[in-house]
Amino acid sequence: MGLLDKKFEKGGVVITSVENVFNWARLSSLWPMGFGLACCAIEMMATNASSYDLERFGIFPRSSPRQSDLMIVAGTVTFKMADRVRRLYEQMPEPRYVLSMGSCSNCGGPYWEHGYHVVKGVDRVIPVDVYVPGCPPRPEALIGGLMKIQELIRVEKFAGSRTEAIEQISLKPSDPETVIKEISASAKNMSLSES
Amino acid sequence: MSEENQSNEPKKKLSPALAARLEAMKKKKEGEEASGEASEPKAKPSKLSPALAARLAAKKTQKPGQETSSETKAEEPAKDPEPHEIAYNIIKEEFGDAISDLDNNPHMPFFEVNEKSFWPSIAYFMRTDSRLKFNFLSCLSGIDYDDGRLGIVCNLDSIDEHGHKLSVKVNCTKEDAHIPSVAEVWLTADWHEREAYDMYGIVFDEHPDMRRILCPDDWEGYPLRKDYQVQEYYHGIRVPY
Ligand code: SF4
Repeated sequence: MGLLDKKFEKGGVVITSVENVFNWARLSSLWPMGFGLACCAIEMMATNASSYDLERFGIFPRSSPRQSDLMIVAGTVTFKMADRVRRLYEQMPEPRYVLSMGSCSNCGGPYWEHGYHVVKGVDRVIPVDVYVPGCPPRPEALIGGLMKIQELIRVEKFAGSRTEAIEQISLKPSDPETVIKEISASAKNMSLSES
Repeated sequence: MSEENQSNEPKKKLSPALAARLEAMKKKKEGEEASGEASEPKAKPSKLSPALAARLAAKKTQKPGQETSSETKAEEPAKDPEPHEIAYNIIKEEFGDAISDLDNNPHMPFFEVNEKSFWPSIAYFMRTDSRLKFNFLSCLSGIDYDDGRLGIVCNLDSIDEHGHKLSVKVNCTKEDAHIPSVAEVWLTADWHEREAYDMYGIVFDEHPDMRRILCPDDWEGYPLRKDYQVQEYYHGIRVPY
């Protein structure tokens, strides 16, 4: 409670919209389907493990599609697997999100030309919300993609559609440099206020 | 004696003629074991059946002609034969014209099986004969030669026994893509043959479970054939990029 201690003084009352609370709750406990398809899955596991510690985002892999709201397609989607991926996606309850991790599931990756057995992009099978490029993407990149999903959830409206939310995000594209500057500035502020 | 239990199995599925041959081989083997394994292959013909002895004699008259044809080869007998050459000679003695000459390249010495129906009995002989003991099939691969022929390459080792290695090639045509299975001789061949079937469409006769192993069951075509055409759609998903 350290951070919140000084924020609520007058009787601990906060006024916000239900939408905000719901979205905050959803984005703070994104539960991905626990499955990996190829080498990218190793990076995903590394992201889940202690050094990168996805649990600090409330992200924790689930063993059942019924309990998941996020699908991380981590790796090569073969045609044999595509049917299963679609079936798993259909078993997830709404609202559900899909993150395509790595070149393979984005567009076929190294198998784009001669991979007779590889689906050239998982978006030919299920709708994808966020693409993370890389072969494989580093854990930082995956975390970046997950934060993009959180951003998407944050701007979603009860009555609005997913497309509207995506449009709203794309209105203010962030370039990496400003993000780095913003973050390092806020880090400096934090260390100043602490001292 | 699990080895004996295994080696008894394939016999049941072989044709009577082959079974008789195997029986003869077994008796021969027993005789050899009694006389000791160190005996040289040249001393063998005395123990062979008359038919085999005749075939060997024919081969022997052939050999000098071949040797004189190239000078380097004529020098070879002076060298001690490599272990795989000894092994090859034993198989050649047994099966004669059913197998080709030894391609004695330094990387993967191999011989081809000319008459593919002999392949299971050759395999059985190579696995069980006390002088050969090829007890390990390290790999079985398929090949499309792109001239109407398909084939398999079997890399065989004698691990913990003689330590020699030798490869065998068996070919068939695209129209009649059948090769007898050796899954009963080396269990490793079971899945390897299924893979060769999956990728090249070579049907292994008498295989216990001839299904695709990697591609889905309803896949069209054999992906590693040179003339393979990628299908346009699979289950409603577009295949080409
Ligand atoms: S994108 Fe690269 S690392 Fe990821 S599954 Fe494909 S080949 Fe492997």
